[in-house]
Amino acid sequence: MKTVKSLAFTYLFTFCVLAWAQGLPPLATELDPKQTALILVDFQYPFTSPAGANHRNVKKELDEKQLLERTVELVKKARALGVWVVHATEGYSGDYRELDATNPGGFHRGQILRQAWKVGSKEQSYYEPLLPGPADKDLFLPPRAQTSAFGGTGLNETLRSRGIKNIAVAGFTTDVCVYATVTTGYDLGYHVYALREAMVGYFSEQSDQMLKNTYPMWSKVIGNAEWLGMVDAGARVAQR
Amino acid sequence: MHRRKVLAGLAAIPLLSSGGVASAEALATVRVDRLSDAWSAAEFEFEAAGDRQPGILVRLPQDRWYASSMLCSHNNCKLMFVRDLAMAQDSFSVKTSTPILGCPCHFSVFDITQGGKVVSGPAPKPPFQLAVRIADEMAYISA
Repeated sequence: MKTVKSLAFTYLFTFCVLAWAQGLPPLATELDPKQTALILVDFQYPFTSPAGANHRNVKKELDEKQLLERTVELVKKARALGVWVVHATEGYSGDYRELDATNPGGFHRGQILRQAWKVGSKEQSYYEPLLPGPADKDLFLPPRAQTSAFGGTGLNETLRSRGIKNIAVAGFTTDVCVYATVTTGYDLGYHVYALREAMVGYFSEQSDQMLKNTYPMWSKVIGNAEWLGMVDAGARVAQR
Repeated sequence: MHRRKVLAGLAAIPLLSSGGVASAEALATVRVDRLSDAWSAAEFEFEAAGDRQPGILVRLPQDRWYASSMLCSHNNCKLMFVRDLAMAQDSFSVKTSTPILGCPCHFSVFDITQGGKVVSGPAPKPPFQLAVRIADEMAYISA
């Protein structure tokens, strides 16, 4: 009888442990602005200007989402809440010496063929309405050759040194550089918020699928207002 | 890089329509007096379905002509006219005996001697094809 009781206890204990082990802590509903950065990826002439080489690839979604206007508003509000705004840009030296033109991946070979994104050129220039004003403390990362905003820019070290835990990511494009930034951010342990209304896809339909099926593995896919609401709530908590 | 070799093939200047039935139907008109050699080419702009887009006119051997949109049918990247056959092989990985249209985004290649037929890459179909009628040193380009 004693053995039966002992076994029953063991089973009950094991069940409780398993049940406890399967539970998860709740996700954050508020974000401390001091621990939060907004990373803007490649808001540059090729995408943002109607004359830009890649504008045609993104125009439809850009217009539908009114992305540029809404991102300017988003950034103003984020700055006002105390979120650190970080601008990541793409750019290469005049003769592309940093690139390996024999790499079978086509991304850099294509940039060289088109003689695109040279640092200091009009084509590499930044979208002016997003430029920080004199009082803004935005961070501009050095031009990068990598897909992820973390690639070769020192972004991770900089964010860590400032105690940033949460990153929101926006920009160009959902299926390429924004995605690379999101997955790298997740791998580095950041809590990543993918701002679906502030990003557009190079391939629009593919990007929609990625936001539905792939992004949630590495981020919380969220609208601008909802994310700002979380930061606003976090700011109120921090003020108490 | 090879950019200069690509641009070297583009010569003529698009002109405004000069009246008449042919020009009234044309999406674009291009002077062809400077396109006397085979594989000489001119870029122009035209409007299709409310969209202003780049086009290309190429003089083929035996007084034939090719004209199409310069936008790739894959995802609208602007195509390159590649006259240098070595460049076509090295940059676009195609062995060809004639110049090609190539897409620098995803490396689709189009055979302009066969109506823009897709030779390689992800493009699903030729670039938007245009008709060419030559009269009085002018090319009248229409859909």
